[in-house]
Amino acid sequence: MVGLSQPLLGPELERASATASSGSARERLDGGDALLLDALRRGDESAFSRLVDLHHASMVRVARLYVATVAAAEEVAQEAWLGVLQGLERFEGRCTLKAWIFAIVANCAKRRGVSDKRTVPMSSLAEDDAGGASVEPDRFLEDSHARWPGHWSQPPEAWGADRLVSRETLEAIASAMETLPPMQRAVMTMRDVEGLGSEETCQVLGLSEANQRVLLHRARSKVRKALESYMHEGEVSP
Amino acid sequence: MSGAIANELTCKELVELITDYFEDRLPTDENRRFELHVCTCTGCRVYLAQMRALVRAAGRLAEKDLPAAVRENLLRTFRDWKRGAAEP
Amino acid sequence: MIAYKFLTAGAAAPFTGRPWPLPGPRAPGAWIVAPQGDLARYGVHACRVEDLSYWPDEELWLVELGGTILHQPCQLVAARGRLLQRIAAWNVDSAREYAVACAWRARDVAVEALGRGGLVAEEAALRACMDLVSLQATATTLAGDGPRDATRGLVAYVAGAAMRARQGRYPEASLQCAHLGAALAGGEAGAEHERAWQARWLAHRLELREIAARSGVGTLSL
Repeated sequence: MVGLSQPLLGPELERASATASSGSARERLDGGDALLLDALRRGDESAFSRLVDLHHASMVRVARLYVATVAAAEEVAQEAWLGVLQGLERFEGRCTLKAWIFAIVANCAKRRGVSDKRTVPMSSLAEDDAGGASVEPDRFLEDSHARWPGHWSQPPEAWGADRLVSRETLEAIASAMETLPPMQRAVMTMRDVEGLGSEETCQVLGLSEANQRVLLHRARSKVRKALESYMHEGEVSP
Repeated sequence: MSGAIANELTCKELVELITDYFEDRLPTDENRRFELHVCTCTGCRVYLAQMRALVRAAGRLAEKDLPAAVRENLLRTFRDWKRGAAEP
Repeated sequence: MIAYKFLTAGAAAPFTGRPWPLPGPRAPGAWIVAPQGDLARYGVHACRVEDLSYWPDEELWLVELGGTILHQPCQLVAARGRLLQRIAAWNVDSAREYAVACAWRARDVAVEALGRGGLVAEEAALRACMDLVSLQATATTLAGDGPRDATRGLVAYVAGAAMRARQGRYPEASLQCAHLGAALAGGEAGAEHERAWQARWLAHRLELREIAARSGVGTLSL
């Protein structure tokens, strides 16, 4: 029988908040970040270096959600560090350091996009592809089926654990995420790749909680579908 | 003479609820219906496992590579800022 | 209060994967305590005997519940719980027996319904089956491929249960029975009737009440 279990981070007993970034407890400045922040405010270069190690690559990924090229994203991320340093005094610790930094990156990227006239449009849910089912309807028995309406007609097959950790599979996931509509990609990047909480993701991206969840749902459903094709046929189909 | 049971979730409904389930946002009785269904449906068990696996795998995309040249640049930025003479 | 709990391999909670603290040779496992707040949502879930058919999984445990205990449809929810002992009688072999029992139950229920409906030939054909292979084959033939005919619908569940039973897939075999019950007796009530049969089967085959009584802890759940 396929096991349901995966080891969990939080203290929940029977609730299935199995994603890494749920739970508001982690959405405030934590002890480690507070120490780094203090050291940084005192001008400690090794604290800055540590922060760069922790966050720069993520910042480039976030910038890449807004600008057209990786090179442009790299420039935005480097600019954003200056914004971080200049904003140190203002930061109140009411969100995590990471979320705050991402918000600065987003702002830099948008400003840059305005001047470059090349921002990836990140407007709204309404512009997003209008829903559609998470799974092709023909995978289920018809609603009029006498015995099993709406049940799987072609159930999904379990993926081998070893295949899931391979480099090729990760690349397939990354590829699939590249083809998502911009806002879906942004939400899934923030939540699942970067591990931000849902509240912070909403803040950085300017979304309501409900919208964020719909976007996350669509994004994950699409990527799962692509991954299923890949696992089955060895190719990511768009 | 339908064998459909009114308050049971179908698989087609379940796959649309899955994100709300992970986010702990389903009403309590819907949660119970969700879990009841998964218990006796291999297809949905697999789907749940796939979603979980996907989210975990996405987390592994967060690489932290930092090219030396970039680090150099950033340290320069820091030192300039510290001197109070940061470039605009 | 004594109750029962299905866990997945390694005494892990089925939906969160959290491993339950194991009992020692002479002591129960450590208590798992629900966080403060919505007990119905975050409490420790467990089964009365009649709930067992809804939650099948790899391991079956005797548990003790404490604090406030809510009685809900299909489950108990408690403020705290701990493992007392693994019910070793529930294993791959007895699980397979359960699946097989469900298949024959489906046959018996269908035979009775067919008889009441005057469908003598179909009734006789199913009654004559002596093993799962012939049961699946016969039921499949009788069911044909016509979705509209109510009789064929019934018999299709028997075919479904027999197929799953041969594969050892007890959750689905039991679900086929539940849906057969629903089809015969108008929805939920019919399904519950079959779930109750399944729970009685499990309680009897696994000697659950005897195990609970011997544990010497608190009151038996019913």
